[in-house]
Formats: sequence, structure tokens, C-alpha cells
Amino acid sequence: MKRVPFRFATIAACLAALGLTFVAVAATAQVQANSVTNNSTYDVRRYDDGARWGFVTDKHSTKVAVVDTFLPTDDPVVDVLEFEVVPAELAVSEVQNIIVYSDLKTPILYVYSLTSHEQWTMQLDIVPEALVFHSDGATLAIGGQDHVIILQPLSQTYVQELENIQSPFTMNFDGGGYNLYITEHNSGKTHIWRTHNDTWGALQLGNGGAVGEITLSPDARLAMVAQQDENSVYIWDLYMDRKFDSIDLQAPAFRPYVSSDSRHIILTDHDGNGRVVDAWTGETVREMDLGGAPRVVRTGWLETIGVVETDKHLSVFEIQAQTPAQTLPISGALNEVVVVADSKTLFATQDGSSEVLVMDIRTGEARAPIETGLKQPNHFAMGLTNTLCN
Amino acid sequence: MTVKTNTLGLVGGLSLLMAGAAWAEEPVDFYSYKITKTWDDVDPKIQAATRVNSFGCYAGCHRPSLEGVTDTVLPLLEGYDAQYMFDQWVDTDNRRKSGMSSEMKLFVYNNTIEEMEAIALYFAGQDRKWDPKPEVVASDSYARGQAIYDKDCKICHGDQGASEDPRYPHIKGQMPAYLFGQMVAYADYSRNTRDAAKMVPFARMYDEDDYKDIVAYLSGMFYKEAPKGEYITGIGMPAPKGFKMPDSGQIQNFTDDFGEDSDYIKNPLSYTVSESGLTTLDNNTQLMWERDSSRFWVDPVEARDYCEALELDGYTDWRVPLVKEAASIADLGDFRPAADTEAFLNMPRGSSGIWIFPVSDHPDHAWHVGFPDGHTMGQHSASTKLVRCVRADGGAAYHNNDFADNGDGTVSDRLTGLLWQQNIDYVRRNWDDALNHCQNLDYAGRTDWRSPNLKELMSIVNYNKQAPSIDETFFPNTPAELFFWSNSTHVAGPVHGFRPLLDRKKDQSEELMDRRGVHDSQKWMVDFQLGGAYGAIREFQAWTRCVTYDD
Amino acid sequence: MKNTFASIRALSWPALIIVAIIFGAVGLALALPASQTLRSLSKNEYCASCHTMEPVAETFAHSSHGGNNDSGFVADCVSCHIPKSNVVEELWVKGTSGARHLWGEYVTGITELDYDRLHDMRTEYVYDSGCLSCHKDIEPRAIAAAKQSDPSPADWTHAIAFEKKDTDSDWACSSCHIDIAHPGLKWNLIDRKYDALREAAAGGNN
Repeated sequence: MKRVPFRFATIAACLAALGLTFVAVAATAQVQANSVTNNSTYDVRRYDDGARWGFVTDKHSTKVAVVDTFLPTDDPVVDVLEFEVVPAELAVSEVQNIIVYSDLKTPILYVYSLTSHEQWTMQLDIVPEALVFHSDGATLAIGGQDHVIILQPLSQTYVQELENIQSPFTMNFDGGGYNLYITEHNSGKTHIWRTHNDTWGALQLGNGGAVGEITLSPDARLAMVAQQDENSVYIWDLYMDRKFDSIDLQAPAFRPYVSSDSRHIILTDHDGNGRVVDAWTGETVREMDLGGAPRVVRTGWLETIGVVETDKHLSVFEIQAQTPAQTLPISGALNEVVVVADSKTLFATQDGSSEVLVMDIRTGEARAPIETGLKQPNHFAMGLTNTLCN
Repeated sequence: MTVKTNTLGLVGGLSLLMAGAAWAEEPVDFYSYKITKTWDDVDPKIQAATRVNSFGCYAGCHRPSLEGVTDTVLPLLEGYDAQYMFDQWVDTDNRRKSGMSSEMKLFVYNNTIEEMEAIALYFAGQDRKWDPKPEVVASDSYARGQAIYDKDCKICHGDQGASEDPRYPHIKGQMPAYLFGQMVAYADYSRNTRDAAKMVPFARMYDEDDYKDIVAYLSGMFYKEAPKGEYITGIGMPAPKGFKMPDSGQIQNFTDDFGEDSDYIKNPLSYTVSESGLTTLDNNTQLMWERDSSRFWVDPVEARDYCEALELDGYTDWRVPLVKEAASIADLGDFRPAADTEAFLNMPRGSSGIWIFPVSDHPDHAWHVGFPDGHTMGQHSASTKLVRCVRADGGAAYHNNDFADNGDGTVSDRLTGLLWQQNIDYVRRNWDDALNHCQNLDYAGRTDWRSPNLKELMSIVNYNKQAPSIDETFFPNTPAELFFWSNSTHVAGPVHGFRPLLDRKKDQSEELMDRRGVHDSQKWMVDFQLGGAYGAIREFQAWTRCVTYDD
Repeated sequence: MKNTFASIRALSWPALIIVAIIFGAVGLALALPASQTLRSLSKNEYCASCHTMEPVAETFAHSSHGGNNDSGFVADCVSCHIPKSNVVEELWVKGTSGARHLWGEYVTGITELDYDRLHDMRTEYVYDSGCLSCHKDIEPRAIAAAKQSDPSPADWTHAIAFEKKDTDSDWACSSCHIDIAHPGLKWNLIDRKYDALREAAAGGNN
């Protein structure tokens, strides 16, 4: 509630009655939160807020720790779920409140309900290696050996099997869910499956040689890959249907990243050179020395800050200003790095530690780590994060 | 597979367009503006901004031509003559009324003439894809369409619609549902702006079966009818007993000036969750809600059927909410979702729009409230949304007002307990001036006027009529053009790719509660052509209707 | 036009003859002064002298028919709004429409035109015969051109119109050529309405 501004206070002094009204409003509104009387006797342990609950898997067990990323207390681990197999790959649906996972060994899709805690499976004819939800949160693309299976895990409906794809490949749905982009790593050949009418398009990313994983800008305007045989990143404009740019780096390029506002592309190479490129003009915004070989790139705090995990530390830099990067040392390689949807807080699982590392990316400083109780925290999965691509 | 309607993208498009927002100064310049430039004449800086702006059209509703998304009634934008596109665009504020034109209204005012011209020139320079489906080309319908087309259409629109004459729009490869809808609109005289009259006699020579054939020939795709159904209208439904008008939920401050939403707290949002945990009673409106929304995406017909089949806590009289009902549970003090997440479960943060009735100005034009931020707008019924059912004892609904004309230039609404300024002053103002105008208003012997909050302003919309969507017996001469200001602010402030998500309202810091220094949050306004609720920058020039408590 | 004309045709022959005789007699009796009077009552200035007709005159002045053309030619209101058929119909239309307008202006006190209603019935008060009395070459040219292999869209469409216009009001001249002499009339009326309301509000007329 507004503090009564000075000139109102003055008026109030002259017009006592009116002034009292203002004060009265100020006093009552101070406590005007919503009132909810919850008579529900049904204890559900619902984890249906995709931006709040982090699911930390263990490399060696079927336990999954539930972390409240709002960090309301010193001990944000609120629950431990028991899965049927060790989840080696998983994805969370923000809409349907389910986790789908795979053990990367058996041709089975496992499903866990985050509202009823029921579990079920769907039999497949391939081992699920990659799990990507469509933006409707209901439709799942499952990548496996030379195949993509489309199904709906909550209703347990098989939709379609996409063939004539060569592994290894990466898959990305665009934000509106109109297209599924499937890029083959050996050639950069990219299949575009149009979800609305089951038709196919194709495009070639790169010069025909091997490429890294495809990165789609969050607005699904640009698709880009690192070309393995050249020190370059190849960028395609999907809306103009033509090449946007090819950007040379000094060493083999790491997988490119696009900020969640789709305005900046962050490129890194294996020698630790970083570069920020304007996603509309292709102009270089800044270059920086990351001080180590990069592994993961993230962005946050209103998309003004970039974070790169190198083999030595986390490097935190301003995306548009030419200020020096800050570093935060890390003890071991990070397994999964997540900037949550408040865009301020980074969570990461770390090799050789049962704790989850927490950092405020606005300051570049570590916060108290979270003890998960797991032997080796692996994935940190959420329904919604600040990362809209990759 | 159904394609989820891209609300994310839509709002993204909004914010993109808002970024460089301005508005036309004088309507006369706007509507008679002649484009004399080419794309190459456009200033390189504006060219760059135009690429971003035009992408906003894609990210919103109009899909790019190369994708061939057919389940839309919206036109592809590529390939039109720039002047034709510009003219059709500026007409979308209460002029051109066909298909979903009315949904474009907001976007007329978020761009300068120069920006609109550049966007029109940009799209004019883009090719529209021609990718006919083989089964369509081989069909009898296509052949019949060609016969009709060659006889009566080709002379103006050119070979298979590929017009090269700027007087006649290029229609080859346009979306089937759009072409069909426009033919119907010519024939029933609802499309009557600019040169539309020249198409009317031709459209009236043929019937809807012929249109389907012509559409097959011109688009290379078959026309697919959007889901159609009989929906509740709300007409005649009594108000719930004990109804109280809920506050907007906004408790944050955005201006030093007194008169904004959070300065008037009367009935804070208040809910009771049932023992089963499955239903939530709104203690203000007395409406009982399904506590969860559906996890499935449905079209409006499926939404209706879902609610009709629902049984919760022993009640079977569930139905799809009406517009004001859904808007009444919005919490404008919260964002993604703009609702109380203890009272209402499964409110996805990414996209949480629910269908609401009645339909808008077109049978395929259904309303929804988008709970990312609490906006109300229309969407074509071939798209999908979530559903959250509602009921009230005695078949009641929050839909119909209980107005009384007090004969002194004021109108009481005995339902909401509000007293309205009957005759506005027809002056367009920015948001801050609108707040102050109402605070300083001496009207009908009262001086306690204020600008209404979004829910209050929506309460006087009549969703059973259009242009204006208000009861003119009580509010005569209400402009259907432009928008009316509320005193509510878009709480999220500027959003970048929908981030960052704020803390929930109850956990927000002093900094988030007191945002008086932050100047770039959009402000909520209501359109009285249809009744939609949208945000605009505070410098936008809109109408003002003041309100006060009727006590 | 159809309605008016039909109502004339609906009159019995004897009645028509009587009307003709009365008009003829009055005309002969008044001879010169009468035609002067009629002429002055048909001048654009006279039509524009009514308050209600201000927006009509204002938009007319901006149109090609209202002088906004290279030669400075200005059409008469009556060129379009009175048929060019026979003296009986012309006088009948002049008399009835004049009386209706006077009645509206001075008796019922109409302050503004209802554009949407009037627009929908435009073919009843814009006379094709008026259009064609000036644009004499349109019909022969259209009919000749339509027989050729490559007619212009205008000639081709006009040929259809001439075939259908007498039986189908969708094909009258004003069906397609809307607001041709009053461009922007609808928006002129709306602007005036809001201007008037704004002024009234500013004057304290709550």
C-alpha cells in the first residue's frame, strides 16, 4: 500500500476528514492479502507449480528429491519421491503435472503424476533417449535409435511414429508447438515435422559436415548449430527461410545459446573465448575471455547477465556492457545448471557432492547450498525455467 | 494432433509491438494515408525495427506462410500490396467487421503510421507460399472452383488469384478458412469497408458450397469448418444471491497520484475450498468453481461438453463460465498465473487461458480469459484452451446488470453497488490524466469520483451485443472506437520472454509492492466494441468513464 | 428508386393522367417563374442550406463529383438524386424527397443522418439514370468490350451490371460505387457526433 505522499499529507492536515480517509485506506490495505479458507482434508502433496518445484534425481538410486526453489526455509528439500527405475533422462510437463522418464536401457516410458503420485508405463519399440514436451504439455516427442515417437503420456495415447531419421539427432519443438525440428548430428540435415497437419519440411544446417546439437531461439526464429569441422556456428532464419549468418570463432565452437528474450546469441569456443551476438542484426555486442573451457551457457536477471560454466569456475558477465566477468569457483563439474524463472537464482547439481549449488546471479555470489541427501545428484528438472531453448 | 494456441507468442507479439508504441494522431490522416515509399526508401533503423515488429505478428497469431498452418481463420500476411494491407489494418477499429478483424483493434494504435507503413511494405516484399495439396488439386471441388473462378473472378484477381493489380488483392495461397469467411462476410454485407462493395454482388452470385470450391482452387487446401456449437448466452440468468463485486486483487502501487486500483480496497479476494478439495467457493461472487482446470486442451464445444458431464461435490449443474465470471477470479496483483494458486489449482504459468461464453462478434469467435495476466480476448474456435467449470445455486450467473438511471447523469448498478458516470466527456487522455480527471471530477453533484478498476469496468460490458458492447439505454453514445481506461496496472511490468516470474503476491517484497518509480508497466483498458481487456502503455490516449461506490 | 417507381406504377392510369394534368397545368400557368423556382430549389446551395446536410455537402466538396477534379466541374445534387427518366417521375421524386427532407429538418428536427441505415438503402435514392445521363459511354463501351477477348475489369463488370441492374439491386451503380460523391461521410458523421458530445460535455450539460 502506498505511503501517503507528502502533498496528500498536507491536504489531509487541512481537511482532516478526507485525510483520515486516506490514512484509513492505507492502514487497512496494508494487510489486504487474499483470504483462502482451506477446508480440504485431502493431503495431496501436489507439486503442480512448474516454476517452483525442482526435481533432483540421483545417479545411483530411484530417489528423487523435491526442492522448493522459492527457498522459503533453510531446508528446501520438502519430499523424496520414489521412482520405479533410476531416471537417467526425464522431462516435466508444466500443464499436466507429470514427470516422464527413461532408464536409457529399456524400451519403456515411465510416467509419474505430481498430483496423485500414481505411476504408470508405456511400452515402446525403442529405448527412449531424449524426451521433449510440446508446449501443450500433453504431447511428448521421444527420441530413440533412428526414430521419434509422438505420444500423450497422461491419456496414454500413441499418436505417431516418425521414421527415416538418423541417430544421433536432437529435437526441439517451437514455442507455439507448430513444428518439431529434428537435426541429425552427422550431417546437419534437419527434418521439420509440422505437427498440425503431419507434413514434412527439410532444411540443411551447416555445410553438410558433422554438427553439434541444434539450438532454437526461444521465439523459434533462428536455428543454429556448431559446425564440428570448422570453427564456426551456422545460423538459419526459419521465418525468412534463408541463412542468417555463419560466425567464425577461434577454436571449435561449443553449442550456442540464445537468451530467453531471443535478443542475444551467446557463442563460446573450446579455448574459452566468448562472444555475444545481436540476434537481429548479427553484430557482435561484446567479446570476453571466459578463463576456461566452456561446458554450459545460461542467462538471467532480465536477460542482462550471462553465466558460463567452464572447467574451472562459473563465469558471470553482463551481456551488453563491456565490464569484466566475475568468477565463482566450483569444485567439480556441474551435471545440470538451471536458472529458475525468477531469472535471479541458479541451481546446479555437481559431481562429487550431495549438495545442490545455489547462486544469486545478480551478485555472482553463492548462497547456502542445499543438502539433498542423495548420493550423487544428477538432473535438476523443472516444468518451467528461465531457459527457453536448449 | 491439436495445436495449442500460442498465447505465449501472442502476448510476446503484444510486447514486441508495444516496445516502440505510439498512436495515430488524427484519424483522418490515418485512414486516408497513401503509401508512396518503397521498402528501400524506409530508413535503415526503421527497417531493422520493422523486422522485429513484423515478427511480432508471426509470434502472435498470423503464422508465416511457409508453415501452412490451416486451422486458422486468420490471413497470411505475405504477398499483399502494401497499400491494401495498410488500409485493411487501419480499418480494424470498428470499421472492417468480418472474420476476426476486431481482434486487430489494439494493434492499430500501438504503431505510428510510419511503422505501419514499413510493416506493410515489409510483408508486401515477402512471398506467399503456394503449396497445393495433391488430393485437393485432383478433386472435383478444385475443378468446380476453377470453373467459377475463371468465369467470374479471374478478370480482376488474375490467374488463380495471383493478382498483379494493386486494386485487387492477391488471394492465391491464402488460408482456406480466411477466404471462406470473407466470402460469407461480403455476401451478408458485414464486410463493407473500402472497396468491399465491389465484391458483394459477386459473392452474392454464389453460395457456401461454391465458396468451398473456389477456396479449394485458390488455396490448394480444403476448407475445414471450425467447431461450432450452441453455447450459453447468459441472457436472463439471475445474479447469485449475496453477490459482492470482488476487488481486482491489485495491492501494489504504481503512481504517486491518488486514484489507482490499490487505493480502493473494498472486497478483497476471498475463497473457501471444500472438504474434498475439489471445489472452491468465491465468497464475494458466491460462484462455485472447479478447483482444478482441465489438463487437456479443448475447443469450445469440447469445453461445453466437459462441464456438462462434470460431477463434483455432488453437483451436476456445472457449465463453462461467462466472461465476467472468469474475469472475476483474476488476481491482478499476481502474475503467471494472475489468480490465487491455493484457491485455484493447475493454473499453468506458461499458458493458462480458459474458454468462456458467449461467443463474440462471429460464430467462430469465442472468448477466453488468459491467466498469465488476466487479459480477456477472443480467439477462433478451432484453437484450444483449458477449461474450468463453474456453477451457482438456482442457475445463477454473474452476467446481467441491474441498472437504474438516476435521472441526474448517473447510473446505479444494484448488482455491483457501483454508481457510474453516464455521460463521459469524450476527451482522450493518457492513463495518469484519466486518474486525475476522475479524482477532480465534479459531476452530478458529487466529487467522490474515481477511475474504475478493470473488473469494475468490465462489469458494465454487455457481452450479448457489440459496437458498442454496452446497454445504450443507460450509457448512450458510448464510443465503440478506441478503449476506456481502468485504474489497474499490468502488475508484471515489462516482461522479457515472460521472465522474470515474480514472487507470489503474498511473498512480494516492499520493492515489488511499491513500484512508483517504475514507469513502464502497461495499464489495463477495456474495448467497448466487443468487451476485450488489454494492456497499453500509459501514454496511450483513451476514453474515461468515472465511477464511485453507490452508498 | 424501385420503391418509388413501383409506387408510381402502382397508381392507376387515370390517377397518373390527373397528376400529369395538374403538374402540366401548374407548370404552364407559372411557366418561367416556376422553372426558376424549381431550379433554385435544385441548386446545391439550397440542398446544403439544411443543417443536416452539412456533412453531405462537406464531403461532396472533397469528391471528384464535387469539384475536386482537373476541370473544376461540379455535379448537381439532383444529377444523382433525381432520376433522369420522365418529367412525371422526376417531379414526383423531387417533390416527395424535398418534402421528406423539409419535414425532417423543420418538423421532426433530425439532427444527424443515420449513415448505416441510409447506406443500406442507397440504391433507392441514387439513380442509375442520373449517373448514366453524364456517363453516357459506359454502357456501349462495356457491352462492346465484353465481347472482345480481353476486356478491362471495369468494362467486364459493367457489362454484367447492365444485364442485371434492373432486376437485382446488388448491381445498381451505387451498389459498388459507394460514397463516390461523399467520401468519408460515415466518419465525418461520427467525428461530428463526438465533437458535438464533447462540446456539450464541456458546456457543463451533464
